[in-house]
Amino acid sequence: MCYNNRENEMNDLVIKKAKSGDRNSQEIIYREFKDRIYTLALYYTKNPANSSDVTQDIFIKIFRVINKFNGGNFKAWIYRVSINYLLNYVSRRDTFVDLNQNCMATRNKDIEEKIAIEKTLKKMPEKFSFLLILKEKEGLNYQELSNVFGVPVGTIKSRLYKARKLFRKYYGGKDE
Amino acid sequence: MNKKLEILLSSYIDGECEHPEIVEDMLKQNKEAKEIYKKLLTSKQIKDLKYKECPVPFNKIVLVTKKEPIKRLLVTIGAVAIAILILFPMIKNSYQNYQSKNKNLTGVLK
Repeated sequence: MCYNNRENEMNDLVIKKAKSGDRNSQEIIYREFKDRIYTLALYYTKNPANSSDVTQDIFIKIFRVINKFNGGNFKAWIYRVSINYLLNYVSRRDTFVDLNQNCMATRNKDIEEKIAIEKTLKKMPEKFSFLLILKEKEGLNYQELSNVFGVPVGTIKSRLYKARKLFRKYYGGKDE
Repeated sequence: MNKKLEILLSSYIDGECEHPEIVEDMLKQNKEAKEIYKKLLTSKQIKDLKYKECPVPFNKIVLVTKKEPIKRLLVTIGAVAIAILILFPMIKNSYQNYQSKNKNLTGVLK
């Protein structure tokens, strides 16, 4: 979701309607975030079938507690609910599924690099991989990340630095 | 290289550094800092990843409404009531049988 004024108004309306149980508005929110949440779940469960179940459960939870959203960054709020769910309620299953199977058969350097990045993220502890994804992919700022993870901004700074070091370690396999 | 400096470089990468000009100067002068900066930049590749398509259709996101627990409770109460109605004549019968048998037996003992 973009956050210019016009779209923000529309989003507020969609959120308001979704709060009152309007299925169309809920579907708009679902379409906007389903792939993001599913991808995040995939890094956690490492299994497409489990990720589908988890994504379904997360959205049921989101629409159940959407009344508790009191303004602010909706994307950050969605991630907060999702990450809390992933870290607290789902038991980790190490049925590792190689993401290669989700890629096209034609492998070029670009695809291989992406697979390597995905594998690196899967090897990392969740609190670091989620943080990196939300920062690099979703572009959340420190304050928003602080709200998502429920820790001070200083901790986010320090964790991001550690996450980057870990990413480099697992990706390149050279440093520390 | 101390940890504080590395955290500073990481914040600079995120565009959340309070004094970016200091970091920029440092990167020009300090070779080691530049090296670490480059290594920390590796994570930027995450941005190029594509989302995986979620196969779950929206109609599978079914919320359990508040009415449903009440409905379940009513069904349970109904089932218990029906069970009692069915079993009541049997219970009543067996109690009467017991009483009459008991009466007869006590009569024999006397």
